[in-house]
Amino acid sequence: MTPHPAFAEPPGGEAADVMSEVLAEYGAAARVSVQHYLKRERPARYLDELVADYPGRGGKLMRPCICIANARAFGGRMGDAVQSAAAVEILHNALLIHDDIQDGSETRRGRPTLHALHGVPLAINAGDAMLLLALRPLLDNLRHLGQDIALRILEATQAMARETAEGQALELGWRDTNQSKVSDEDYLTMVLKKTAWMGMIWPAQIGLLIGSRGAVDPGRVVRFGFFLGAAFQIEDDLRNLVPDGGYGKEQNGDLFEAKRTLMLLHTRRSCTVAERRELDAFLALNRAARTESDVAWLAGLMEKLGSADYARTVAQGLAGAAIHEFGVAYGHLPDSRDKAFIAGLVPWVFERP
Amino acid sequence: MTIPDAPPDPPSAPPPGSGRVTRPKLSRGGPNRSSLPPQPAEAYDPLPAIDKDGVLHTAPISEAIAQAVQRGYRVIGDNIEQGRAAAAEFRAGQYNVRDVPYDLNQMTLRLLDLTRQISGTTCDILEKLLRDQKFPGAVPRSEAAATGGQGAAPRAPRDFAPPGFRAAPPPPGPAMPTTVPLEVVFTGKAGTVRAASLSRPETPTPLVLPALAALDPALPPIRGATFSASADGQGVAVNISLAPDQPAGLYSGVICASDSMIPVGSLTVEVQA
Repeated sequence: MTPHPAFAEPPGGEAADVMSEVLAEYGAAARVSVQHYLKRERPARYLDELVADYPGRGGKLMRPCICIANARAFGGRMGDAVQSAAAVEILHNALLIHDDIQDGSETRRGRPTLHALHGVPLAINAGDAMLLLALRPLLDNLRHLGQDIALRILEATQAMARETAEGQALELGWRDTNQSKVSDEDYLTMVLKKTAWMGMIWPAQIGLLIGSRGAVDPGRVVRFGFFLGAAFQIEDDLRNLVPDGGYGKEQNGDLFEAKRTLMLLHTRRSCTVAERRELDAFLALNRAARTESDVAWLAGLMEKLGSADYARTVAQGLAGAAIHEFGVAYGHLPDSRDKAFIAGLVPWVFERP
Repeated sequence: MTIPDAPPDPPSAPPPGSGRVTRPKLSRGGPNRSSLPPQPAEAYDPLPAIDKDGVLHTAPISEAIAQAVQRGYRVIGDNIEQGRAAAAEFRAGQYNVRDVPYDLNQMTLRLLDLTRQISGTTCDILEKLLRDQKFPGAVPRSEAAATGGQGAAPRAPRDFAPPGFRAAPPPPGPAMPTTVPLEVVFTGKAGTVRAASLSRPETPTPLVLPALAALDPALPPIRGATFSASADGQGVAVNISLAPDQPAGLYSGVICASDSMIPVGSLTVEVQA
């Protein structure tokens, strides 16, 4: 059996080195650019300190690295992509601020969320400011990359913004209207819009446009980005159920929020009539009314019904589809560290710390 | 020389019939930080095995995986189709910079070149933007250079370049001229130009012509001159309105940069009787 070039060694060998090397190198470059765009000679009170908070808490900077790696894989230079990578990271952090408010989350990257520290109004304002600050590096592209590519990047950004808002609307709407008839396909639609577009598809499209100087259709990476993003989100949801899931949110937070995860959907359709009655009663409560013992009961039910195993199976299947689509989107490119990094994202979504 | 005996092999239970000691296979090669159980290397091999007879062998696919992947393709297929429809809807009838008519672009390039002549730093960025635009059916740049914009340089086509293709940098344009063509437009009474000159200012600045004074101080000066682009787009036009009772004679004045009042040109006109 001939191994795929991108997976010539099993995880733990050179592939893991590529991932950590690229994340370190491109992440550092993106971080410097983010700081450049967020820096103010005279910080505005109640604003700039908040704006700098989330980007200053670290993180893997996966999304900017995807942008830069795609730019280089398609023939571009890091210098051409690093500003756009900064825009990706700033916008991502802006959405995290709003996301934490919408979910009622209490911690982010091991510290209190921004609204927990400063209140909801100021946190919303900081998130709004960051959304608009993310435009600055994209506008600077006009000078560095030319009008055509800069405009196409802005168009891709607009499309992503629309998809992300729709995805978030689905997730929040299901929760707030206590929607129980959500199918796996509905879930995948929500994940595509809310997670995959912003996290995987959009950064890759920007990088592709920059690297190919607009020669390659950005639609090329949509399928790969979707399957990668879906696997990523399901893995995130699974990690929320275990202690120290490693991604900065409190354990079982999703259960407290009654977030419609693949596991919850599987549990609801697999349980007995009596259990479903009890589950629906739990879902009908608002977050504040859900107790630790309620959540523990639900977690136990999920485990009994094998919902986590089911979600893992789905995630693995989607990862397989991502590998296939990687070959379609990137297979023609010459082998490079950047191509290996992009390919390595598939196992990395499961192996990441 | 005495060769010491090799130390005896440690006691072990070789597999029946093999005569060899084997180590147990490790279940994983690194720390398991994920929620997944350890995966063998083959789990990441995307290529199905083809045996020496060309028969394709694939690992059995569970129904859950098959359904998940099928759903995934259905979801992304719908999304792509909706995206195409939305893009077509947004583009139809909407202003799109890529659809700017070629003649408008040419005019704009001429105006930019004109502004560029007035100041070396003016509109450099905007000029680059316009030069980077693609226009369906646009005249190649070499023809455009012959018909319109000075300093235009040919560009390699990009539309169907293979990935990784990088266009060669354009050759350097001609040196910036130090003088600017100056056209004089009279309205009202007739006049003629006796001498005119205009130099390129160092920095972008509007121009002013405070007054055209006659050699005879008793004659009233001509005031109210304004500046605009010349009709051919190649220079600057100074528009002079002559009152019906403006006395005949020679009138001269200095053209200045308005921010510093540094002279950048001069103009002498003769008002007809």
